[in-house]
Amino acid sequence: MLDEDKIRLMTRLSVYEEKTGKEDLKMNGYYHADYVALKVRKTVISVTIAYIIILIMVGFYYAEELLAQLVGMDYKALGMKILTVYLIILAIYIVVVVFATHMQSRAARKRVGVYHKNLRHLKRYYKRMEEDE
Amino acid sequence: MNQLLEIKEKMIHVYQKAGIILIPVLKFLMGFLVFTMLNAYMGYDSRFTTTEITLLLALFCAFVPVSVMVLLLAILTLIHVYCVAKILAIIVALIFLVLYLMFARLSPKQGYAIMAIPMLFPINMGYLIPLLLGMTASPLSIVSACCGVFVYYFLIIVRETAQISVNNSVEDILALYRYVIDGILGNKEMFLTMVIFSLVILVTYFIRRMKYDHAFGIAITSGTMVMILGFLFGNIKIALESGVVNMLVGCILSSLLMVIIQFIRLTLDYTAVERTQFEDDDYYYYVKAVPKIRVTAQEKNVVTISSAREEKDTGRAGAFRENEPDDLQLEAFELEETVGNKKLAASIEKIQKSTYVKNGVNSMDAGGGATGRTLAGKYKSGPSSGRTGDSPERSAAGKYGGTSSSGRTGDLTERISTGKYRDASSTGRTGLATGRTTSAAGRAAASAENYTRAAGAGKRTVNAAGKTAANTENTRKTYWGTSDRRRVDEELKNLTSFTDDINDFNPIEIEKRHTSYTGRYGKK
Repeated sequence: MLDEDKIRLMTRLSVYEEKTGKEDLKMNGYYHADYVALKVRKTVISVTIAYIIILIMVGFYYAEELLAQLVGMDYKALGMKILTVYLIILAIYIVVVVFATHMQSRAARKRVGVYHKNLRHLKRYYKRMEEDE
Repeated sequence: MNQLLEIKEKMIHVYQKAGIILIPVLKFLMGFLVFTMLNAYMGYDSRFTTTEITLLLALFCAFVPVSVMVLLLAILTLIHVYCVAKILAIIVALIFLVLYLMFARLSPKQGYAIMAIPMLFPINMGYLIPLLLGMTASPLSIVSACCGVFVYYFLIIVRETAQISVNNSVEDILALYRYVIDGILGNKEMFLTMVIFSLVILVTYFIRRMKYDHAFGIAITSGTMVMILGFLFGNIKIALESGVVNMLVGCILSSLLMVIIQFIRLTLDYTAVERTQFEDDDYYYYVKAVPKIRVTAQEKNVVTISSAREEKDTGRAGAFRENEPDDLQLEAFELEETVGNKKLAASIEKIQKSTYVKNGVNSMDAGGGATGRTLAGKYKSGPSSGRTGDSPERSAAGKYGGTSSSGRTGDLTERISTGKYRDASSTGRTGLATGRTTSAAGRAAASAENYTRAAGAGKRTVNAAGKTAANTENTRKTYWGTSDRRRVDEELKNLTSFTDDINDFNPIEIEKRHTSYTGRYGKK
């Protein structure tokens, strides 16, 4: 005998798991701080690679000038400048990523809360069924 | 408006029935169009410009996420550029990589924007995307929009550069490279477009989230105005390549298209059929979950609620006074029958069975809401006609004349209108619009069973179903109804709970199979 209420509940759970729940549950598997740290690590790697590529491109653009001043160039000042720009960009990205992750995580927690509530309902349902039997 | 609503309903049904096929088909068509445009724009490698390859790529794109389509487009672009200028292809690859690492990965779900802007700009419709993003996405989508704008202008530069023949000498390569980079950095129109698109997204986003009536409409209009003014001011310093007239036409057309998209968007968003599979100890379930249809196509034309006191004090119907007596009742309803509308009889029968008609109750439009506001429909002063019963002093204070339809249902008013609702009909097709709305038609109809009873003045009421299809013309019957404050309050509660249930699914197709699996949800 099919129980429509149970099917409704299970359908909600299943639809959630297959759609938005995928990311939510993955996020929920971490401690919040760990998840943010993971995102930040990924961002640092991406930004670093991108920054290196940009540096190479800029260096290539000014190749002639660089070659001309190769000997008398103040490498320390140049290095500091490159590092400062890198850190500024990185800081901006980290702030954006932390903020965005926090917002996503907050929304996900609400959805996961509803999901767990439905799971509890299902559990109670089974308990009742067992008692009836 | 009725016709538009009917078209929308048909779309819902088509979407519900054929969604599983329709979406891949649409993606296939989009993929085919996009690859064809790319081939036409920079189809240097003839091996990849054949119809067979294009069809195959489009077919592949029909079953993969949009982000994969964007990746394929980038690869195809590289292949074409590589065919004509190898060094240029390396530059393009590096720039694409930086674009992805620094920007595109921040908002992967808006990958379509990166693809759509370069594809729509040649047909002067690129202005649609910031409006669309502002209406549907978060401000983070600014990144995607800017990436899209960048890709469009970058491809123009690449196309120009690809024509230049280059030797393999270092000087030539450097010159080519500088030409590309100068082309990017010196392109003021690109930066102007990025800034304006960002502003448009912000303005549209923040306005559409405000709790005003017509917030969506205002957001689209404001976004368009910002875009037009931005480009006009920008044009003073930077002469737009496309020309001011083209820009104006593009903005206006995009805005109109956005209105249409907005009209159908919510419906399609919330009526997608879900298919899922799961199992328990006894069965394996294949479930097709169809969201409840929130529409009934009955046309009810209503209505008049009137009060002499209100008339005395305000001179117009529906006006609000602070010290209204609590024994407010809805007074006179004119339930109007549309000529030739055979559904009326069924409608009345249905109404008589229940005190509350849920038509027009639920809606998803955040911009709607506006509880506590007064009527959505227009007010007209004037005496009531066709009243029967009750004391003359309670006769009509005025009318709500012809509340027009805007796809929204009326708002809940905090206060009673003791004036006359007139012609605030609901086609029942309320669904989408306001946060908490109700149908005056339903309310009027709910009282139809008591049509001979007179009613007093009162304090609360529900707004005219207002913006759903009004039909002011064919009045035939007049009913009288009563409703007291308590009843109205109960109905308000019903409205709230009904709105909360909006996401409920109604599994209608359950195919059962006996299996011996222990399911995810099975007993352990």
